[in-house]
Amino acid sequence: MPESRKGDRFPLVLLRTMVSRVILRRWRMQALKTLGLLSIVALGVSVFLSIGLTNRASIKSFQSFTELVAGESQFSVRSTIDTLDMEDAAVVRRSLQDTEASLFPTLELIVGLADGYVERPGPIYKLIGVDLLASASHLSKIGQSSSSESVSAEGKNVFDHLSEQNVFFASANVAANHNWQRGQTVPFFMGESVVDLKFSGSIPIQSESADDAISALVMDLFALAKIAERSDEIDRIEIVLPEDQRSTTNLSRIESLLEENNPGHWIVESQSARQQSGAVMTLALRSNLRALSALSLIVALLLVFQALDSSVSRRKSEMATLRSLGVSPRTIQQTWIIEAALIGAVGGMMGIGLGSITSRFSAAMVNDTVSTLYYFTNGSGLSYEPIEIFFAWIVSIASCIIAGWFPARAAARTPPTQLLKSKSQYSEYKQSAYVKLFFASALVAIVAYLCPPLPAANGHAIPIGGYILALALIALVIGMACPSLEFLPRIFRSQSPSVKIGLSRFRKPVARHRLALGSVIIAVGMTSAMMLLIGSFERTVTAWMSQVIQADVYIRSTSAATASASNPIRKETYDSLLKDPVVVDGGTISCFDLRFRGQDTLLLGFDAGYLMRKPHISWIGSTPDLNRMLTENGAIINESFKERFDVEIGDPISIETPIGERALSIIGIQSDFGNERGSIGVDKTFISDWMGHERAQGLALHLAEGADLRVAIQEWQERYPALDVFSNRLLREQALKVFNQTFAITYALEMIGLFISVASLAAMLFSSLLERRGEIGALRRIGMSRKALSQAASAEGLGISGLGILYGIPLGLAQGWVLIRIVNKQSFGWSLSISVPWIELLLLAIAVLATGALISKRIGWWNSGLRIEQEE
Amino acid sequence: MKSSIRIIKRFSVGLGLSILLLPFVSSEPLTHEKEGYSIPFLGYDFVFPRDHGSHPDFRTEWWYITGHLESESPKRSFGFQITFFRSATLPENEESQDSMPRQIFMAHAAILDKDTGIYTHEERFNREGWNAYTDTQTLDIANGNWRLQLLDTKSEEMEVSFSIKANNRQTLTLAPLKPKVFFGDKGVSRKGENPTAKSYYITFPRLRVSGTLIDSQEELEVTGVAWMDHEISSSQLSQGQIGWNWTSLIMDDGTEMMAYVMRREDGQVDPFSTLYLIDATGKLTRIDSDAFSWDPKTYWKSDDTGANYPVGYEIRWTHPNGEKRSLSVRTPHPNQEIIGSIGDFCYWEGAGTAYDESGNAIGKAYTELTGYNESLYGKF
Repeated sequence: MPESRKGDRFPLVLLRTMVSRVILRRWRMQALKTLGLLSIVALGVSVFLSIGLTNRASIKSFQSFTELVAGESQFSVRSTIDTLDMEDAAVVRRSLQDTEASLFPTLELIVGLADGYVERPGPIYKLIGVDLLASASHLSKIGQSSSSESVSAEGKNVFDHLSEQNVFFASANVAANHNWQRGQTVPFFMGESVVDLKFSGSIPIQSESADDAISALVMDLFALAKIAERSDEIDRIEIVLPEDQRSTTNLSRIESLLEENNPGHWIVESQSARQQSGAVMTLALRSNLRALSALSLIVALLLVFQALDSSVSRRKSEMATLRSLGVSPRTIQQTWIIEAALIGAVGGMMGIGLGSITSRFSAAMVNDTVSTLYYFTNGSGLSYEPIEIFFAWIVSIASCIIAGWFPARAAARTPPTQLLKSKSQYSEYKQSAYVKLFFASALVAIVAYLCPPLPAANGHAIPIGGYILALALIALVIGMACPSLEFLPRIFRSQSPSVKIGLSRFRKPVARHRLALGSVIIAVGMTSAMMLLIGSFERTVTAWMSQVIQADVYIRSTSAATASASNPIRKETYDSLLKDPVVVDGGTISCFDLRFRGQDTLLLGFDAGYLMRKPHISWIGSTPDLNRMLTENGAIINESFKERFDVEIGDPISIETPIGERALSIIGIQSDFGNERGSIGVDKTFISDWMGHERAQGLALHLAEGADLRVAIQEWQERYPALDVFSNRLLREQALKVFNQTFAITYALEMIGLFISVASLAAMLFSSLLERRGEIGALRRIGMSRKALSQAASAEGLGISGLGILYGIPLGLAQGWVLIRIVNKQSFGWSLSISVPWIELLLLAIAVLATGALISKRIGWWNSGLRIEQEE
Repeated sequence: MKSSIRIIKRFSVGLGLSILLLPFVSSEPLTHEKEGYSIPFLGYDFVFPRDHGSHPDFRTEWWYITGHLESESPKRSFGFQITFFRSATLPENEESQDSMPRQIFMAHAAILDKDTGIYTHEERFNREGWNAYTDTQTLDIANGNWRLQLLDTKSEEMEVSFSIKANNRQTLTLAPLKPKVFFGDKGVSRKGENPTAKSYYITFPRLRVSGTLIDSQEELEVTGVAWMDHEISSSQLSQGQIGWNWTSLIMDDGTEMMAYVMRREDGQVDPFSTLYLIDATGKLTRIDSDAFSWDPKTYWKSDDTGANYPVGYEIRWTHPNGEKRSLSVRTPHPNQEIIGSIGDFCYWEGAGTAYDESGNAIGKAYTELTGYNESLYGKF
């Protein structure tokens, strides 16, 4: 072999030996510790992955329900306002007469199980109405059979199903969950009625490409329209092309045909655009969850940094010996980087496994939020996307390499043995580095603060400056906090030898002390920031609710507990309630999807007369003259609408209605925390002119003085079992419940972050104490008890925890301010007043201190019982 | 199952009617049957193009086209069938109590590649409305993206376009080479002893076909000949009938033949079976069941349904002028079974060739064979 080739091979062989002898040997010897470290990385990765998978699922489920029947659709047509009708379906059919497109006009309702559940409604489902005959023909066309398998297997064909009244089908998983038997009658809340539907088996017309996990119910379109009293209405038309006809050219042709025949009120969306619609709608929520989940990963990576740093520190003599034997600094550095990468790879793999469990929890929580705020989803879209999994794994490896970079460099700089003798064994991070960090991050923070937001697809903005500012604040505070470790022994001059010993560690703190402190600061900061955000939100929303919820009774459909449910109340019903002898005043509200300037928003139908008689809207800026809603096409918008569409009071706008374009003038801006899509409200008379009906989604009633609220509610609830009749107090409670549900995932992420930071603190103490076993052994020999030694460890832990709180809480308050004033405002368009939750912050401080002290004490006790010569 | 039987039954009547060209004309001027549907009556004044269109007051109606196509470059030949059915579930004056559609449209289409024997077919069902319709004033019918329409009221030229399994798309112009004929008595055809059992029966026996056929993305210019029936009735099959054999023959000498036999469960031929000869001028000659026979010669057994179809057969008849004649029909491609994927209805509908007594090819045939996998009575 030529000499040069030998030279090339030598480092590789050496590197392999180093990996085997240095890394893997240590992993074997310190199996428990390694497992702990890997577990923390796994936890961080699993959180990151779970949110990624859940985010994907929430977008996917925006469109997946019709797939049960239709398979994957290439285009979707919906209305710019409210619904389409069957004539639209006929026009779409004629437009695509010369193509092989199959059409699926779809009517979707949210229904809730009406029986057997204490909480009303029981589980809610999307009930999809599709034309069963046309669907059967589609399957026949694409070569799938609807009769020979799924239908005949149940002894019926599509005609039997059509001729039966009020039958429904369920996807297999739903039927199994409820143990429904064929022929069983199942009562559902539907609109304002309780409807008995007969379970007729699994979905008879089912695409082979349908996702088995989709949970939905199916009825024939026309049967559903009849019982829902929505004859002739359809929510959208899905357009499915045969698989071999989905070329770009053909898709463009289909799109052109649709646009050419668009009567003006169609929104034609390609598959990707539709997915984008779901993505855009939830952009802010998903971005914020992603950021939060990334924080858990960051905290976990600090732990990796700390672990590797500790390892480098303890093995300096070994590194020095290797250097003396001729191993190059580069090979040493590579060895440590490989170890970091291995931690990332193995921890990442474990995280992926763990993610399969945690994603179920996160999906449940995110689904609740998405259903409440955006559109109905039941998590059926959750699947383990290889791309997402691979991404999480790569992030894990890359992040661990970054975390291991500095320890690896420190290892490479280890001098040979003869030099090492004259130098400190401890890490050599200098105070000046933190000063530099402080000023650099301060500079970044200023720039980030001034950085304008990036325009987002949903009309709001991506608060990129806000995110960077939040990160810069972390670096800034850590830059400030780490040098102060050394001041702890000077400040706390205790007479207790244990405390003296414990705090003496900070006279010359090692990097791990700083890393542990950093972890605690980040976790406490993150938690207190979220506390501030949630506290402020709660306070603002509570104050807002106390202003806007003034009626005695509120009524809505029981199955309307999700954002996308239209579930209207008929005019006859609300008129009857408004004319009830105990009612002295009341008003209705209706709500429709609206496409405005290419974005999805909401159109609200107010009762302007009621708003004037019972002023309850919380206005931003001046209170408008609501008479203008009746006389001058006046419209009121909410704050999110203002932010998304950059409009102001006095601006003229026009909207596309079913009877053509209509001009409106903005007369007022209301404070509204119901959604981030924004809303524009007009008087109900406009709505009935435009839509041709006078349905309402909600009703507010004021009772006569002396009327018995309880009796009235009971009577109405009995009269209308499918309506939810809320008292003022109950509605507030429900609203707060929804609010808490919305933040459930946030709380969960916070807790995980906090747990990782406590683990980080424990790991720091663990390794720190192990390193000093000789010293601790000497202390024991001169008479210190195990109790005293554990107290010393406790003091060390308390020191870190205390400083973590001291810096973490101000950091959290600053970050909270950034979240409220910048991130939240730009993402959601909501103005919140800041309210500091002092009690919660105090409890957090106590919890962190107590946990830090207890864990430290426990580790100190265990460590002091070890023999000096015992391996870790 | 009853309801599905009710619906399918109506379609079966449609299919059956293509051979139930019964010659007896009712002497009673009934205009509506018991359930309220209209029934054909003698003296009805046909007006076109209106009567090419739909008659929703009748229970059942269909437009049935079979034909033979050829392309020059490359040289290929095909057989095709496209049938649009309409079936009412309720008489027009009756209020619907449920969401069952008032009109259901079924359609069957099939293509045979005569060179390779590859046979594809498709069934469609749609309710009247957004995805299927018929016009009551002219011929304009659609079922999904299949469509048949009259292009010119004077020449009665038509266009049909359809695809099978999202492939094999055809757009064909159908130009009458002969005037339309009216089977039965002035277009009213009795189907059984029941006085309501009759249909209006209008046929274009010879249509010149031209157009394009896209087979697996290869676009072919095709020409050929076709046969088209339009029948309107409210009647049903009779007790004791288990199925039928039907054929239309387009002869090379410019004449046509249409024949059917109703098969009874006792193995006898129903007396309503009939044969029609159409001369080159379009003049009809009817031959009753006692003057012709339909004798199976070769069979093909379906692996899918188990039905054993007599796909090759001989027809012997005695002309009213006393002349005795015969011909036979054979096909090299026996696998032309239509298996209903939605309506569970299976039958054989195939292209073949007619041969004279000497074995010379004399024309093109399309044959329909039903009731071979199960008796249609009771189910249909």
